[in-house]
Amino acid sequence: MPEPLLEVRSLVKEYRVGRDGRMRAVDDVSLAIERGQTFGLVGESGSGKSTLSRCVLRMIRADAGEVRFDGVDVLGLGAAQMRRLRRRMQVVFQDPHGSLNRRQSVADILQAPLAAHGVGDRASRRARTAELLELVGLASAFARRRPEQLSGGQAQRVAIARALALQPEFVVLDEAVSALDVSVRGQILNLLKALQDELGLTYLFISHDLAIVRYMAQVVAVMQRGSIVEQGSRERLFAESRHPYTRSLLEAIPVADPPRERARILASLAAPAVAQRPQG
Amino acid sequence: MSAALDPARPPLALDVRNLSVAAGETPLVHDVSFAVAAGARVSLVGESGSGKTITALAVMGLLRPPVRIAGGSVLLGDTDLRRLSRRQLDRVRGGRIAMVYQDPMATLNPLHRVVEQIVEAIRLHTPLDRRAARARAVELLEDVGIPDAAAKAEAYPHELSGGMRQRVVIAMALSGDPELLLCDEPTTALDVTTQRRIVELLVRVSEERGVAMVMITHDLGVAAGFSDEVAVMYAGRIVERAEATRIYAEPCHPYTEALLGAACDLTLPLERPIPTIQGQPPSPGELAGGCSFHPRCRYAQPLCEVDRPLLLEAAGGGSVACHFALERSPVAVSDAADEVGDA
Amino acid sequence: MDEQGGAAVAAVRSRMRLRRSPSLLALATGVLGLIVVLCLLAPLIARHDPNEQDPADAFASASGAHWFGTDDLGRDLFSRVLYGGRLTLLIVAGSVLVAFLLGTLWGFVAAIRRGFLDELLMRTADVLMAIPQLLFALVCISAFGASMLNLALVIGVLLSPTTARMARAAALTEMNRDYYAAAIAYGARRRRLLLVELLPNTTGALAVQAAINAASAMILEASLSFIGLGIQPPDASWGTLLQQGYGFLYQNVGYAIFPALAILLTIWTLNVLADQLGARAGAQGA
Repeated sequence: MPEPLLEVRSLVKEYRVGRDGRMRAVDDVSLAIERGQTFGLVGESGSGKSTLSRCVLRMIRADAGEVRFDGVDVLGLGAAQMRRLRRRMQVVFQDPHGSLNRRQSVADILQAPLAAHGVGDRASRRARTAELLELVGLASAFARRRPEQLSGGQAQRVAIARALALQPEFVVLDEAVSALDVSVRGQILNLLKALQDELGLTYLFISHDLAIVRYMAQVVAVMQRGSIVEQGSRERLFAESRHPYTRSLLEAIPVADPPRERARILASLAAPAVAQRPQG
Repeated sequence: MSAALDPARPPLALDVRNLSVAAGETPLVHDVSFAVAAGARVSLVGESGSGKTITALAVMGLLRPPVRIAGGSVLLGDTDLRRLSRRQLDRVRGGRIAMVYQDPMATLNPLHRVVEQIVEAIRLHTPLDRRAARARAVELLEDVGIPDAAAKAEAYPHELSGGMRQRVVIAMALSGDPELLLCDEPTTALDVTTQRRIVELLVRVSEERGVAMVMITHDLGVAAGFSDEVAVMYAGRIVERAEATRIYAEPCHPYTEALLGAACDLTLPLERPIPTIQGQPPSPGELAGGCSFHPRCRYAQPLCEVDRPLLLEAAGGGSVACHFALERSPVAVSDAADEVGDA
Repeated sequence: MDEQGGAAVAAVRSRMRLRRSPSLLALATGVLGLIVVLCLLAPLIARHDPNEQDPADAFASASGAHWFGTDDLGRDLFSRVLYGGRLTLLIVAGSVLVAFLLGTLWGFVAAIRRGFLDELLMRTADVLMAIPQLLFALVCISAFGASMLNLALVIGVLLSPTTARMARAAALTEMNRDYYAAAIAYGARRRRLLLVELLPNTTGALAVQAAINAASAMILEASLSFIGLGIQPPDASWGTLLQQGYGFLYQNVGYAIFPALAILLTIWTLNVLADQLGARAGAQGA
């Protein structure tokens, strides 16, 4: 059995709270992602899923634990080696416009990773830009545009193209479609899936939306308050989940069926107030 | 409740007719009409650029130049809101009509305790003294389902969770005993479990106090349980409007149909690409000629490019703005048409 | 909230902040531009040599021949004010440049390194800011002489701690944004992060700081010249003119007033510029 592409062992990230309190944003988390797979990480706000991804990408410093990428100890690398490793692991953020430098054109944005690593010359970079735009379904004219001239979906495509510029093997998608319109979300998800097939990518797909995670990921882990409370294959988790938190998340998802939803609401309201210990 | 569609029933809490809003010369909202019966709940559903938030702000009289109402009328009960002076409008706002925003921190002052803020709202619209107002504030907090209300009242907003803050905002909105509550994406910033609870709260408040509600949302799932009636907006116009049950079961407008199809829920088939609408929602300056949706519509015909469809009665109830609604969606028999009973 | 809703709310909010007034900005820019152009073109505009003495005509009041009158040695004041402006403005420009280069580097390095270096740099800035400015200038000028270069350097160094603070704050704000994180993620090195990612996005704040610095530099230069540590005779900056004129208020009040007005007007335009640029930057940055 080949080694997983990414392995996380007992990762911990703590923050100091108040004078001498401590809060574990990531509390002893372990997971493994196989090559070519999409690993779904589900959790609500405050669950620690984003912190976990930033630790894995070494954008913030973990306090304890190990991260192994293709056998390499990520947390122990020197700065220069880490920079080289970054070519293989990339990220797409939630806010499509926020993740693009508003002072640069799309072409600049796409060439920046290439320039940073001294890849190719001017001509080849321009060619690569055209290639990338085509890969994400944008016309070549987009190269001259600026971020403010792009819609949310287009901006996110540019962000994806940038992430692919250095031909990474692994991409972290941190709530990559949550800020997009419903009608555009599907486009981006379909694009991501197609890219995965075409380029053999491995994804860590982070989202609070269980339905989308179910569509994208083969293996899913559910996080709550810094720990993984349940982990398993898509089939098992969605069909036979055992953990009460996972179940509560599954049940909370509204369905586009008014009579059914209406009945649920009325049933809830009729139930005694004891059940109403709102966590929210 | 189909009261919203039947004018012979109890009076309308809100009657918006042919409302148009423009920013300078650019139209943002065109010819929007909808009504909310007393105690009924209506959802305005749409994506970016649909104009749903602008419509709500227009109803509340919160538009600032260069954005202004360019036409139409807004009747709250039998009061014409457009004819009120600024002072009168200030009185009405927060009193007879209140608004709840997506981000509770847009309403809550981080420097004051929760109870003080509710007391301030109460004293603006009722003649209670401080003591009585305080007691009422705690009562309101209990009403909105905050456990241990007396203690929580003394907290500062940042000490409460997102859901609790939203409940506090709802309590403030209710303090003036409003006839109508406008909620702009009230659950979007919340976790899915909390979302459900807030929707339940709003339904309960509406039922118990007879407060009419308008919810603005992009989430069809949230609108499903909440609404009696749904109006779908696209590019500044209402493209379809009907009872909730009818719209979800038998969407007449291609946009509504596509939106429902694009929603991801747990039954989404895994082997196929997600159904999606090509292109993106237009911004106000770039509307296509004819029907605004035609560039993205799978059923588009040459007629759609030139002739803008009017909002007309649809078979099966409600109204729809599409040239080909009748042909695509045959008259629905039985279930949908007969859903007239109460919520 | 969708885009138009957001725009409407933003319109409401921006009214509560400083009023953006394009006409005021245009006026201030125009006046400042005029002052700069007039001073730079002094050789072409002045009708008299600023050093040409005519003791017989000392303390003449404003007339057709001498628009601002003459000073104690009969020199034409209008010409002296124009030429003095050149000196003053050159010193101001020089010090703003020094403050910009030194302060921006200082603040950016502190922001990007954080930790001990950040503390060290910022505490040094605090110390520098705690020293009375005139005293510091006094010591430096006495030691190194009052040439234009020295003046620009000294004033520039005096203004750099506040510039560093501002640059650091602006950098930190931008470093919180996703595009910066994305740059780290694709492996950008520090130099690229500073020059390509951060700097272009902080120009708003830095421009405002430059305008404020220019105004401060004017006052510092005038003060130094006033106490005799600035430009030495026969050259005269506005500060020196002010100092000289102050001694002859009864003979020719214009001697002091005109340089003072020049200083006042320039500082006013710079302040308006700073305010308006700040209002614009504030609206964009959020």
